[in-house]
Amino acid sequence: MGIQPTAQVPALPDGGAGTPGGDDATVQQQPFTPSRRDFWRFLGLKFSGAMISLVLVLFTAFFIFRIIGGDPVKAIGGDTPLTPSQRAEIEERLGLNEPLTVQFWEYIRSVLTLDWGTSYVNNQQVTDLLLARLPNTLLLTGTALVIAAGLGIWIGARAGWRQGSRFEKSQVGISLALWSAPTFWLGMIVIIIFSVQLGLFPVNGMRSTRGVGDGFWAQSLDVAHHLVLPALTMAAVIYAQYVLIMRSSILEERGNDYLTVAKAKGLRDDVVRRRHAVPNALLPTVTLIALQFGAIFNGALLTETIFSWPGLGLLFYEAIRVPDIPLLQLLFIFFAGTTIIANMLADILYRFLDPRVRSSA
Amino acid sequence: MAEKAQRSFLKRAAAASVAGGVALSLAPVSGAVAQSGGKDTLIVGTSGLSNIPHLNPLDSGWLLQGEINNLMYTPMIRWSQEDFSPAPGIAQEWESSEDGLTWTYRLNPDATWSDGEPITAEDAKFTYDLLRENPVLNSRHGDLVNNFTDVRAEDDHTLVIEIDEPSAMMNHLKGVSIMIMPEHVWGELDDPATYAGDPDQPTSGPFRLNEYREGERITLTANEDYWEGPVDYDEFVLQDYQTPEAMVQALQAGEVDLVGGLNPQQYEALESREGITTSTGPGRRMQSLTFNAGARTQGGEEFGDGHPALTDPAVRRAIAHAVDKERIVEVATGGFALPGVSYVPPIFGDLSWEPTGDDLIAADVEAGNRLLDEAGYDERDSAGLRVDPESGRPLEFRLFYHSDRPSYAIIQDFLVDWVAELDIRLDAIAMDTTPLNEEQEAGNFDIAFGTWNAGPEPSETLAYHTCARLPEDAEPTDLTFAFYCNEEYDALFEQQTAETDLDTRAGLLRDMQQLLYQDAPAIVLYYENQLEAYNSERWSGFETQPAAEGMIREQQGAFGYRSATPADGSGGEAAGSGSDSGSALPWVIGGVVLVAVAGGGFALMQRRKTADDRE
Repeated sequence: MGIQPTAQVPALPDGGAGTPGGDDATVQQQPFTPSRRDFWRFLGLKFSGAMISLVLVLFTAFFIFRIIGGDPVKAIGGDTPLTPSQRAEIEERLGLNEPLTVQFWEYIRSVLTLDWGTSYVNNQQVTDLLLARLPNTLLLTGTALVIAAGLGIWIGARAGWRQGSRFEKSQVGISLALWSAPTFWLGMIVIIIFSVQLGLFPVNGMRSTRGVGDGFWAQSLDVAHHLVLPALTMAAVIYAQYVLIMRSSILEERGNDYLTVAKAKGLRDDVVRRRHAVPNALLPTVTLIALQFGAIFNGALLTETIFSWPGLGLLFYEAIRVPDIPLLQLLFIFFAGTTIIANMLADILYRFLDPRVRSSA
Repeated sequence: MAEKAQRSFLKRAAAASVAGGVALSLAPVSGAVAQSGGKDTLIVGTSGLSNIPHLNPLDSGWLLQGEINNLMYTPMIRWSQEDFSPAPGIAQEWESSEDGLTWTYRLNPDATWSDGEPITAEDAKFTYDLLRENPVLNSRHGDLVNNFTDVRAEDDHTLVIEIDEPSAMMNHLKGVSIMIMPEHVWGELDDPATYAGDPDQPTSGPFRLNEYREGERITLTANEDYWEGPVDYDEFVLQDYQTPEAMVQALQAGEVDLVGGLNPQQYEALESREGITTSTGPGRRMQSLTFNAGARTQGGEEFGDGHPALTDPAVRRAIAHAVDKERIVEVATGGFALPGVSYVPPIFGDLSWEPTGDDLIAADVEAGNRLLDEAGYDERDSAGLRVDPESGRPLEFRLFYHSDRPSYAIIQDFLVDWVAELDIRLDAIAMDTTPLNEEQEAGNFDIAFGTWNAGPEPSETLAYHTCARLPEDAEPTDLTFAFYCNEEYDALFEQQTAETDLDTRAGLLRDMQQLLYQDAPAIVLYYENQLEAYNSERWSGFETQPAAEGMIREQQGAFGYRSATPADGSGGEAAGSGSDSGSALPWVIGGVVLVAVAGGGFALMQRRKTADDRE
């Protein structure tokens, strides 16, 4: 870490040496306190902002899924027509015959007690459903994020360093083309080429249907095999962000004096880029990663749907077709909540990483 | 410090990618090895597995649940493979008393549960009593069991049921919709309504549950000692796919053996694939135009905003004359459908009615125009539309159709043009399913274009046109299709409900369809074919229901799955170019070499670059 240009002014020689209260003390301590007090104020602001967002999310979650319409009773009844007695029985079981106000208080109670209720469809605790799918989502989105960020930073740094080169143009072109490709389309193309034509990877799902044995390694290898296409597809679509941000921040750094100095020292071009330019240019990218960190909990609705990957995105997609309101509420709050928390953490992290933010906060 | 961290990160990343690359490249090899593991597994691709709530055989509302039930259980009485007529299941034969109020069922003495216990009349009595007493299960099966006054086991293999009113349903006991449960296990359950499927449960069919991964797959293990003869393979898997496209890809890649529910384009593309055999036959699903025949309550209070002219059968019949069903089949389904008649598809044999001679409402605009002129719709408004003499309103009807069905968009174009030749205007309006249903149920529609899946018990569908289905209060209802009410039709309906002679009843059911056809509260456009394909390098022998040109999937029974035989008795090779491990091997080796070279090169470059530092 470089020098931190903050208000770390040394205390006056006699500062705080037993001066009892009074204006003097305040005046003397002033150089000390602003950064710490500001930090807490900053933290408090961010935290309360996040809390307000969360409360809004809680209210939205109740109404939004009731506004979109749909008839859960029909979805639960199945393909066969329901008789009035069946319909009444299901409505009562789900509490749908209660007036909206009663349902709302029931919802508030469930939020406060963290008892999110059971799924309309299969009577399971919705929290269990979420927890069962969460690892699958983390595996897919986590892998995709690591690939996208790693690859994006690597390519972006090189592209920015060699501005105007064929490498830069081609890489920016490729990443933008992938960024613009609809995920479902790209997914289908990838499946047709790599699964159907070349037969290298499974078409979809997370585990082989024909069974691979019970061993831990056999199972893990099987899941890894299924993971390749969805993770690469997802990474291909999102890595452009990292390429572009890394490229532009490298471009900003390029003209700086300290790089000229480094070159003047006789360092090779690669070393100058790697040791001096990249670390300074990483800042916006780190923020982007921190922001995206919330997104890895959100699943990937399109990728998971195309590849039948049993994650949270797919769970959400399935729930909204019913609509399975208790499950939708929990997922909505979980998605929004993790994003809000990740954003808050990104703000805080940024303050530590970038002294400029700290001094201006 | 940052430099160091970054360098070590890069090194680690390089190492990880090399390791990952090797592992991934090896994976196809391990997959290929696993495929020849010795077990014969029939894998069926499906969609909508996440819809089904549980695997409780007595509380099943979904077709998919029905398919699984049919594999795990044997019903008391089957729907025959030939033509869906009642056929022996656990019950070998049955008869009724003279008054039709006492029914005796003789059970097959060889029938056993998969745990070896015999299937007895006590099990049947236990199950029917459960359906009578448990409110959740009763709401599903009350139509049959609420008529029971007494159920008793005369001996181990004789079941006697006393009923209140004579009922045609006693001839089939709802077929595959009700399965008998083992009393020695189910008797121990606290609340059978919450049973969701349990691998340890004994079953009465060719399979038992092995694993249920919700929304992903259901795995069944074959019962080797199944009393009607075991199947020729070891395992059955129902695998979920989110999109039909993915399912088709999986079939081509050899990951799944049988798929159904294809669209004509997918079906035709698969026809030319080597190693894949396609199969099609008339199905149970029909597409129809439903008229608002006058939304009103039982007491006659009118509601909704339907056009009054549509309460006149002449207008509805005239529109039927304008519709060329053959042409619709041709343009919208690629020929994979049968022109429709009424609510019982022809696959149900003699229960289905066919119009002949004067009965036929042919595609004939002239006849339609004549009909309208004779019925008094001979005035035109300034726009040239016919005018309803009663209300003075021009004949302009809204046609609601589902926006998520591409074929509907094609068909509505034709309908609008054809009906315009009657000087009637159709305003076609695309809608999402939910609002469309809501408007239809509230009577706020003129014509609704929708779909229906008919079961082998026709009265379940035909009941939707009885007067009893009109709502008591002016509130939305999904129990009637068209708000139709006809006393003559109701009388026939009552008659067939109580008729226990199969042939006589079939005649009554046909009369009802004839009446509906003439009165036209709805126009059945076509019956969709079931479009299926399977991997014929691995499997053969799939029998259909009906036996001639029927379907393999979505049967009312398990004939297709039971008759499947592994092609060479050992699982065989996958279809499609890519899936056999032979052609994948060079790719695998190439992949490993490539990754190794790239990794090595990267490491060397790193070494060279950092040479200065190290020195």
